[in-house]
Amino acid sequence: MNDAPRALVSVRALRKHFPQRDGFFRKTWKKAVDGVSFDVREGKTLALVGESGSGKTTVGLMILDLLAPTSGEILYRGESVSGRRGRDWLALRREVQVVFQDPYSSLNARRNVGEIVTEGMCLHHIGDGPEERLAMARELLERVGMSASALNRYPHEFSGGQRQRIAIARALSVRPKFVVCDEPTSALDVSVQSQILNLLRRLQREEGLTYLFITHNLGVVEYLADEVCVMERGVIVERGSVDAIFDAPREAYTRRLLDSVPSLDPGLRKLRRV
Amino acid sequence: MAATQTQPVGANPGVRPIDARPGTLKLLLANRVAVGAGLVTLGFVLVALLAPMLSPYNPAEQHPEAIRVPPFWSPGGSTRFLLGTDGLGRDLLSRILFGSRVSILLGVVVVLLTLVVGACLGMLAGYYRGWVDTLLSRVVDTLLAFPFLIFALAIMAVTGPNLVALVLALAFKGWVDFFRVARGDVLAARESEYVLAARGVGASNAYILFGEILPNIVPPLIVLAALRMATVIIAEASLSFLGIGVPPRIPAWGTMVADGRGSIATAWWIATFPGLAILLLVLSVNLLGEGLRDALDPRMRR
Repeated sequence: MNDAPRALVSVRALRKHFPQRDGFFRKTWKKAVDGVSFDVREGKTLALVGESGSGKTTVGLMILDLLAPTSGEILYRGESVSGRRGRDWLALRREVQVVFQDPYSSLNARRNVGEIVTEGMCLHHIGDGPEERLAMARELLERVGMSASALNRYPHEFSGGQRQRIAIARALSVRPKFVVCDEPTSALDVSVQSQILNLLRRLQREEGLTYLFITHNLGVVEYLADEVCVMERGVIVERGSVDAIFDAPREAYTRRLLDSVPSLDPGLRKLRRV
Repeated sequence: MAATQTQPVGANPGVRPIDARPGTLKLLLANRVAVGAGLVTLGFVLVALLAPMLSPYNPAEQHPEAIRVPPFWSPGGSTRFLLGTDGLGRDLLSRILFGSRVSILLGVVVVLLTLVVGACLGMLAGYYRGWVDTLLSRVVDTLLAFPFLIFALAIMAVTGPNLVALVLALAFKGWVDFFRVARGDVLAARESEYVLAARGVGASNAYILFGEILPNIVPPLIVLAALRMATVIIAEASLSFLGIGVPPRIPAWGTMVADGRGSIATAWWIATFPGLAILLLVLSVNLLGEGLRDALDPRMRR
C-alpha cells in the first residue's frame, strides 16, 4: 500500500452508540457504528456499501462533523475532524462537502437556485461581491449540465435529477477536495441515475476529487468505486478492490447484496468495461 | 441508457412542466369567500381609521331629548339617528364606528406581541432543545392548564379596566399557540437535509435559524396570526361585556352589548347592532385566515 496515494481521510475505530430508552428506567445503547476503520486515498473513490440500517450514513455524518462520534477518530489530512472551532472548523467546511440522497429535502424550497449555490461562496469569501459570485454560480450550473437561467428559479420548478445537479453545484461551489455522496442516486429515476453517476465521475476527473460513496446499490459501486467496504450492523465485514469484491465475494452477506442488484446493472457493467 | 452524455437539462422543458403550481396570491384570489372576507376586513380597518370623518356625531355626545330612539326604518325612528340611540341618547352608529377602533387596535397589538414572543421562544426551544426547551415547554404546559377567563378576571379586578392591563391579560396565554407551532416546525426543519447541507458549507446557528429555517415556518405563523386575531377580538368583547375590559369612556362593542342587555325586550337595537358588528368582523377575519391557510397549504397545490 506504500506506493498508493496517501490517505486523505482516515477513520480509526469509529463508534457511534445512540441511547435508547428500554422500558421506563433501563437505558440501552443502539450500536449504529461499532468500530469502523478505513482510509480514503486521495483522488480515489471508496464505496461504503450495506443495507439500510447498517450504519453507513452515520459514518458519513460523522466524517462531515455533523454528528459527534461516541469514540474513535477521524483524521482529515492527518488532523482530527471533531472538536474544531472557529477558523479550523470553517477550513474543514470548505474542504469537505456532501451530496445527500433526497434532492427534494436537501434544497431549501424558499430560496432560489442562485442563493443556494452562492451561499457557501459568501460564507467562505470566495469571489469578489455578489456579481462575481453569480457569474461563478452560472458557470458551475453549466458544468453540472444545467442552464444558467436556473439561477432565478426555485427548487420546486425542477425534476429530481435537475435538483440533484443543483445540489452537486452547491457542493462544488466552495471547491472542496473531498465529497461524501450519501446515496446520491437512490431517490432518482433509473434513467436519470446513470446521468448523475457520469456527472460525478467527470467532475472527479476534472477536479481531482476524492469521494466517499455511500450506497446499497452494488451496481453503482462497480461503475464508480476503486475500493469497497461492506458494512453490516455497524461493522465492516468485507473490504477490498472492486474487482476482488465483485469477482470473489467471501462473505455470504456480500453475495446477497450482489444478488440483489437489479437488472439495470448489466448495462452499467458494460459501460464500465468499455 | 446510451444517452448518458450530460446535456443542459434546465434548458429542456419538455421533460416535466416547469412551475405548474400557481402562486399563493393567485390561489387566495381564486377563493371567493376569502376575497369577500378580506374586503369586509379591509372595510372595518378603513372604518376604524376614518371613524372621526364618517361618524355623524361625537360618540360620547348625549341627546337627552332622544333616548332609545329606534333605527330609522322602525316606527318612531328618524334619519337623524340612522341606527337609533342608546339609553343615554348617544348615536349608536357613531359609537359602533368608533368601537371598531379599540377592537382592531387591541387585536393587532396583542397578536403582534404574542407572535413575536411566541415565535422567538418557540424557535429557540425547537432549535437548541436541551434545558431551554424543557423549561419553556413546562411553562407552556402550565399555562395551557390555566383557565384564561379566571386569570383575566383576576388581573383586571386588581388593576381596574385599563388598556395596558387588558393587552397583558389577552397576551398572557396567547403566545402559547405561536410557541407550539414555531417549536414544532423548527424541530422538524433542524433535522432536514437542507439544514445539514447549510451547516456543511459552514453556516452559523443564527444564519441557519433565521436565514434557512425562518422563511419556511412563516406561512403557518401568518395563518395562525389571522385566526388568533378573531379569538382576541372575541375575548376583548367578552371582557368588555363583563365590565372588566375596555374602560367605559372608550366606546367598545362588548360594553355596548352589555349596556343594551337590560332593555333588550323594549329597545332591541341597542345590543343587537354592536353584536352584529362583532359577528361580522370576527367571521370575516376567520374566513380570511382560513382562506390564507388553504392558499399556503402545500396539499392544496397540485
